[in-house]
Amino acid sequence: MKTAKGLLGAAVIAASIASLPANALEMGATDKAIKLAINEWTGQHLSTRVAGAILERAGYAVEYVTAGYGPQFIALGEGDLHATLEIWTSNAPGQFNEAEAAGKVVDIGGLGLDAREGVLYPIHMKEICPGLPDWGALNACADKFASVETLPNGRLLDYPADWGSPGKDRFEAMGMNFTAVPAGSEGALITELEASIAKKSPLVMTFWQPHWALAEYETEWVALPAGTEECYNDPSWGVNKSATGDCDFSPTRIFKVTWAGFNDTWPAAGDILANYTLEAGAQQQMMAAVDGRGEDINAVVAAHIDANAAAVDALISAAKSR
Amino acid sequence: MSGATTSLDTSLSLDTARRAALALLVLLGIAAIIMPERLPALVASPLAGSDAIAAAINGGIDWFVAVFKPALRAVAAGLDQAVRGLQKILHATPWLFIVIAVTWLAWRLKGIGLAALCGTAVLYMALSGYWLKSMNTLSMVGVAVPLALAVGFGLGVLGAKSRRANAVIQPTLDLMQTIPTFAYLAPLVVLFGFGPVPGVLASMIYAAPPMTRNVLLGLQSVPQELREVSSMSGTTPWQRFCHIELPCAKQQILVGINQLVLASLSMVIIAAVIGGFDDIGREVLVATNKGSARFGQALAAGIVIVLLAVVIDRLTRAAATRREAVGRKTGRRAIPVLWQLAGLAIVLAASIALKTYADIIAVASAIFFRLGEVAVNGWLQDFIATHGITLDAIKKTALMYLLLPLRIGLTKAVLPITWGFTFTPAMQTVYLLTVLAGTAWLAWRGRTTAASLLLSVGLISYCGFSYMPWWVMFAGVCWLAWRHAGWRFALVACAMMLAITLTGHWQGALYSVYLCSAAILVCLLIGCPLGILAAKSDIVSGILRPMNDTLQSIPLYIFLIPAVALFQVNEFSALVAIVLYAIVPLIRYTEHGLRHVPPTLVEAARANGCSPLQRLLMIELPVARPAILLGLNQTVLFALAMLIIAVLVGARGLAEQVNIGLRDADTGLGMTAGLSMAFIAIIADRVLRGYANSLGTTEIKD
Repeated sequence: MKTAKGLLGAAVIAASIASLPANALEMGATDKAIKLAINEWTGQHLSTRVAGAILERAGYAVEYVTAGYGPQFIALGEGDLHATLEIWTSNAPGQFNEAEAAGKVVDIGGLGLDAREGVLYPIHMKEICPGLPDWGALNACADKFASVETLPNGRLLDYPADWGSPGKDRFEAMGMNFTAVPAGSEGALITELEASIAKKSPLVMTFWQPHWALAEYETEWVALPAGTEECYNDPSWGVNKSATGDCDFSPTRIFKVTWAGFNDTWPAAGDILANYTLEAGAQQQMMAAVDGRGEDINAVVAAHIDANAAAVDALISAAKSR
Repeated sequence: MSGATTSLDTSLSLDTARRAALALLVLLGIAAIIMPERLPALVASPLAGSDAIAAAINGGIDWFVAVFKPALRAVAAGLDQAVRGLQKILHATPWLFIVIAVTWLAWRLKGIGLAALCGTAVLYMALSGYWLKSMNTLSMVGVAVPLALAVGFGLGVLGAKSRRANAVIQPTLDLMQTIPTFAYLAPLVVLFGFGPVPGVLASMIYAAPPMTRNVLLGLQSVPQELREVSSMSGTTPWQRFCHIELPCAKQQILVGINQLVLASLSMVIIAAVIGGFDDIGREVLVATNKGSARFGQALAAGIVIVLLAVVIDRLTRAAATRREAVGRKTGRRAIPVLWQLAGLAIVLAASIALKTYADIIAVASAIFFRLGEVAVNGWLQDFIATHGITLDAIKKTALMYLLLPLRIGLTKAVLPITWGFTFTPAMQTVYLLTVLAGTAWLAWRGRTTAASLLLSVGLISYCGFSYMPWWVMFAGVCWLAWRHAGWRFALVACAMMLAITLTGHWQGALYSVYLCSAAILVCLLIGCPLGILAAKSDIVSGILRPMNDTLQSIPLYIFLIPAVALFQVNEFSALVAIVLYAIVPLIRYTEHGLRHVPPTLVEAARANGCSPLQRLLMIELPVARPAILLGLNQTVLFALAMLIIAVLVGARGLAEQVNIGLRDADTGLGMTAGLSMAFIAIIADRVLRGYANSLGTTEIKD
């Protein structure tokens, strides 16, 4: 690999000296495909395929490899996979922390995706609990959300247990009359949302955006006290004088991770990925096209790249001329 | 029925001191269950679980990785090449050729009926738009099967030749089949790297045991006379093995191959959670993640897997039975091999020539399949909207009257807001006295089994699995193990429960046992009547068989979407998913048992003027009881296996820990929880099989 890189690097430098400033980043091993991880949800597929399309435009070979959100870090740590582009701090798996501590993977910066987590309800809940989105009103009609297992408390559908339990933590700190039930999977969360809309039955759930379901269904967030740093550090802040975190979710960061050897192998590509961003609005629109209208994902990504050709080319040439 | 029980009971004659000790133990247990507040010493566990063992396992894995990784990675690279090579070949072969070749093969093996079935199935795969993904799955299976064959066959021969080896092999097989795959997927990825290889290896681990068991059974049932004849005529052991033993065991070995291939396919699908290969299992998994509005996609892809399983099953089974017929005269004239090859070559050439057109047809027809999927989605949404109230009522009833009492006990589940009244101390006393009186009466009549069943069900419903005093559980399980599987196994069972406690999984285990018990109860209530109907009516049997086939081979994830869409995330959805999967063996074995009641018995009953109902209750069911118990045994194992998937819709307990272990690559957590599940399965298996055997054995062949 080293020798291939050296040879190619030399060739690329020779070719590019004429057209680029002297300190241009090398392209690196353009014959070796950059393997990008494809996880389980459509938003991530889009973040990854847009990045892949940009890399291809820059002259790289890209391969998409399906990978579980947790297990992918084993592969990234060893260079079997090269980058994964949508990791959420709120549920970064333990494997990531281990691999990063061992210096096997690198956090190369945020994706620029404006994420938010919170407690969500389908719009028809406003008829069942008229005070919404106020959290006090929600607490007052907790009994309307009750199920057999949570009686007399209301039922909060929380993230699957292996993602952590942020909804439960918030509601417990605030002393809400709700019992959290872990969902088990993303599919279960969405299926419940859809069933609730179909049946007009009560539902509050921990959820996140950007997500295609929010583009497809009418929903609202419960208005909790602002999730400031003060709230998370100072117990006396907020409704519960003896607990921190008695407020909305702390902002989530979404970031990109590469294999530690990425920049040495593909210097310019490393720069492109480090500076690559995707807006939540754009991602959500593409998700609605792919999941809502059933359009082909490659066509949707190509259209996005065409519409943003100027910005994409600027990103590429900036990397090559850095 | 009573005859069998009493003969068993008299064989268990206890001396008076033992009887008294047992009675005292039972009384103490009852006291601990009835008055936990008054007798805290009887309820609290002296054993605190810790994660020290899990940490030690993690340390061991780290060390193992550091030492053996280079060697294992070399193995993995070879396997990876094999899978990808096969994948290239399958992708390059025109689908038209594969359709024709499979149809032809089916026709040669069995006849026109099988040819039509297999041809249609493969055609569906090609036209539904999931062809390449199916071929990816097939290339993983294609590598896993020879591996599992080699391992399974080798272990089987070893076990048949050496008693000592067999003593190690048997429990190993149990563990290979009962430790949930999710528990060892993460370490497999660490050891063998990312890609299709961990899935292939997981599949090998899971698929080898049925092969080994069948090889063992086949070799052990070679008639002793044959061996003697061969040694008299001076054969070497090798000659004897090749020319006498293997041919004799062939039939059984072919059964093993059939089971192996199916197990391998099902495990390749499960292993899709780690990703690394764009196979059809992954497609189903991703579609499941998108909720009920995408149920159609998950179903269409799931059907591909069912068809794949059906084709593989029928073809291997036909191959197995055909070999048997070789000795006899077959009516069909043999076609010379050269002609066959020439015919195949012509078909191949033709399908290569027509590839472009065939591919256009496949793309066009895939559009219709997508429309069908949308229609299914719409139908599911409509169904939920129109029947929401009924569905909620079903769920509430099951939760209030079945699941909650089993989990937390009637004392905590019966409240004015649930059952509409308070479970007053007076009522509790009446309830307990009824249970105890019933038990005493049954015991006095000598029906120990019925008595202990009533006592345990009565007490468990009273306090719930979650509040069962730990030692009562220990004592109860050990007693069952001793009674039905011997004192050696009772010791093993005790050690297993101790291990569960020491690794801190006791509460999780109680939860898993609770959920499985509830599911098994429902399976019994629905599955046995269905089995009886199927035995009595060929029409019902004909309707149930394809349904059973589908339920068994469809990827387990598929059950989750309708379960959640209809009943939301809770224990009832988990229960529904488990029941759907685990009920099949009970239906099958009940039907099988009833259909194989000796006709002379039925005749005798008829001659004596029994009504059909009397005949069923007094003659047929008692005779079929061992078969039904073996079905129940399978149901228990299936239910435990399904727990892992049921976590995704709201099940907790051990299976949840296994899932967390997989996600966080915490092998120690995953393995300790996974082993705990395996222990529960092994104990249940031995006890039920022991009980079935004590009732008299009937040969069960599927």
